[in-house]
Amino acid sequence: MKFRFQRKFLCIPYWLFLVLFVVVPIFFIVFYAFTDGSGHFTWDAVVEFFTTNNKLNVLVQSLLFSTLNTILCLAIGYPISYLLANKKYNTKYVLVLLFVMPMWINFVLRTGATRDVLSWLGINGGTHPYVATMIGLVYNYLPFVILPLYTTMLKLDQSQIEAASDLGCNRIQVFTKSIIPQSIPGIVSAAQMVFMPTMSSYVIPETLSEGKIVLFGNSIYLGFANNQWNSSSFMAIIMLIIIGISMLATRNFSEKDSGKGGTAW
Amino acid sequence: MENNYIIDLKNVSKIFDDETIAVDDFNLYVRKGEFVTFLGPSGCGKSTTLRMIAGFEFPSKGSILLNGKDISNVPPNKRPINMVFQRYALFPHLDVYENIAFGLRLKRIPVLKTDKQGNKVLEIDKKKIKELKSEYKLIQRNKHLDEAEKSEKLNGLQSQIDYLKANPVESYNYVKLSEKEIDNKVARALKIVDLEALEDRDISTLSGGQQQRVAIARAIVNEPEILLLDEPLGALDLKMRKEMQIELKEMHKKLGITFIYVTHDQEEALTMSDTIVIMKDGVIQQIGTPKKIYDEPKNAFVADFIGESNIYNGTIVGDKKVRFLDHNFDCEDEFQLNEKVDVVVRPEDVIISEKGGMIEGVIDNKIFKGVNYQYVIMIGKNELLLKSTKDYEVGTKVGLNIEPDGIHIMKKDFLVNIYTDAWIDKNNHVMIDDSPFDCDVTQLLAGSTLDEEGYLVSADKAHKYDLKDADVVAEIAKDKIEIIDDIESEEAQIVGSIVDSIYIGDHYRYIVRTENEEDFVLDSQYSYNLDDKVGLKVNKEDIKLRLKKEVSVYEI
Ligand SMILES: Nc1ncnc2c1ncn2[C@@H]1O[C@H](COP(=O)(O)OP(=O)(O)O)[C@@H](O)[C@H]1O
Ligand SMILES: [Mg+2]
Repeated sequence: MKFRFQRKFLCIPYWLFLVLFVVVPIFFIVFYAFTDGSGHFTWDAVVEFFTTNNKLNVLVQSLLFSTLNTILCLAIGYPISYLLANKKYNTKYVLVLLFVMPMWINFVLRTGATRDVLSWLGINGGTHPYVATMIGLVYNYLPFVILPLYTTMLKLDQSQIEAASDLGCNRIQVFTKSIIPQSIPGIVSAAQMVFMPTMSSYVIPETLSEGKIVLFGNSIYLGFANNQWNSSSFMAIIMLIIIGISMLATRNFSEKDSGKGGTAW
Repeated sequence: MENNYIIDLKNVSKIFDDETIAVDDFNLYVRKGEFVTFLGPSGCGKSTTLRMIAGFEFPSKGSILLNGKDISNVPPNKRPINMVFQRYALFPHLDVYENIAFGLRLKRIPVLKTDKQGNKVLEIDKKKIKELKSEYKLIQRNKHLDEAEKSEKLNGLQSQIDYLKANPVESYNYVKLSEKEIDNKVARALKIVDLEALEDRDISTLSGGQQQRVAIARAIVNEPEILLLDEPLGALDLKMRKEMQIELKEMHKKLGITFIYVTHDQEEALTMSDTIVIMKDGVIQQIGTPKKIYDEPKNAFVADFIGESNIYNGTIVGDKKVRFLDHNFDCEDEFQLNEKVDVVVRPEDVIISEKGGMIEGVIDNKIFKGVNYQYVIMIGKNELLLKSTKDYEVGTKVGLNIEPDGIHIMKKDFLVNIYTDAWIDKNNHVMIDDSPFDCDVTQLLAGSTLDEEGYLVSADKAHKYDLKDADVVAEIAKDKIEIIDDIESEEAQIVGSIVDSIYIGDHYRYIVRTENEEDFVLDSQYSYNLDDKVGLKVNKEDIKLRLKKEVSVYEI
């Protein structure tokens, strides 16, 4: 039989990639999560995770840090993005770069610098581990909030804003009834950019709390480092499930957003 | 109140960024219940004017009065005016019902405060006192008032404040509309725009026409005193547009609200409006009823913009006599003898016959337009457009008659281009808009000549002048500018794009605008499209120059 090129062959590289780098790793994680060192099936990891306080505490603490970090980043990033996107206050793109630039500096270096600045200010990781970690997290993730919010703000429909004020909104009401609803897609993608990465962040809490605070990502790493493949793999699965849930929960919003055209990424 | 003008714009101008004059000295009053339309080509300042009435822009100069009160700087939410936006601007996160209820939910209505027995509760009017107090402080700080005037005003205010403090008055609670009231109003609005069945639908599921109706309902549900509509039908297809025109007109009659409507579609303006305001480049060209504007256009621009028309160059040759198309016609307007004028003749005012007439022509083209025929008739090398129910063959020789009341005469609006900031460069070229034009500088001094080095030598050879950098005023008649199609060619002395064109009988009148925003008005036989890039050529002898200073300044 003669070989005939079909268009569907074009997706072969994609499938290969998917299998190699997504399906196979997940398979291994699942495999390790439910087998012991000699390759026999076991529930050990599940039982251990849900019965020992230690690991659950880490999960709860991570969720709290992530939530607080997301809220703080949004609270700080939202007004900044609004001002940056408003031609009345900002006519230069340079200012935007200034806020987003830290994203491109080496992450470990930046965190080390943050630690030094904080301890110089008296917020030492040894004495104030929670405050120092929180500041570090907010500082690190702020650009990830500003960029998507900024792109959404650029796309704000001015005539909707005018319509709101035409129909009787004062300045505050224009904000709550038109600007915020319009920027929901940006808020959602900004939250996604912060929430999950915070849970799995490792360098920031490690460096800034001088090892006193362990987040979920940290704990997975430590597990693997100590050859606890079984329990660490199960924690990685928990992580995957949380990511899945958060993606499902925000799916509606991101779909709407993608319909409106590309972002600046 | 001395008059019944609901809105009154007085000398309103709007200048953007210190340079773009979007609206220039706009004067207009609108009566209660009127349907007024702003009509003009795109970019002429219609939307800007509307937006100043809505409160989205504030006038740079002049004032806007609503029922006699100055509202020039009142924000949009405090004006009893609502707007239907060009692209609807509906709220996509709300459904149809909530979009329409949006304004109602924000509304607070004053309700008299009463106690349990239903007696009025009297309270000190703290709000008013606060207002008076801040006014008091303003006057106190005002340095421009003289002392006597100041203390008189302050005393007046103080006694008002004291009076208010001592005398409690009826007071009001400001309450939201109840759900039931909102429900009723939304239902009524939905009924008016014929959308009763769609109240629960998402905005994104509606067609353009339906969204349009929601936008109208959202505005009228607030019972505004004035409804502003910015090209509301622009995005609809032709059939839908015609339907909506009729519906809007009916709505206007039924609601009794004043409508201010913006469009660039002359037919829309003619069919819907009580009054049309024709604008061009931010300036009002004419205000009048559709009939008046159609029958008596004030200038060639209005005539050209409103309906089809024949426009010719004419000359006044006697008392109520005008010459155009090589014939002396009787007319009704009086002008100065020998004045050059624009003559406008509407296609339906030309009477066609086979028996001969004032002028004769040959039918060049014929189109059947449903109820009548539209003919293009060549009279010499001039074209004439006419409409008639009679059927003639192409090529027929026909006679044409025009009654005096069918001839509209207008002052010519433009004869020569004048450039007041031109100058002479070192090669004795005149620089207009930074481009060199070959010219005859010897006209600056009678009898002078140029020597080999390029200096101007007076007739008696006694004086020599260096004209380098001399400031001059240059004039070029509009029929002396030639269009060069190839903008790369040597002949094109300057390049610009066509920003305006009017057909005048046997030729077009164009405005060519250069990159530096210098305009060249010119006449040409040939047809070009708006925005075409063209080169311009002017012959050396057709540039008239005048020195700004005495010639002696340049003597060497
Ligand atoms: N916000 C603005 N800033 C600068 N120029 C503007 C602004 N709004 C309108 N203009 C200018 O004012 C002129 C009139 O615009 P507009 O009122 O929108 O015209 P129209 O509605 O008749 O098409 C145009 O030249 C336009 O470019
Ligand atoms: Mg407009």
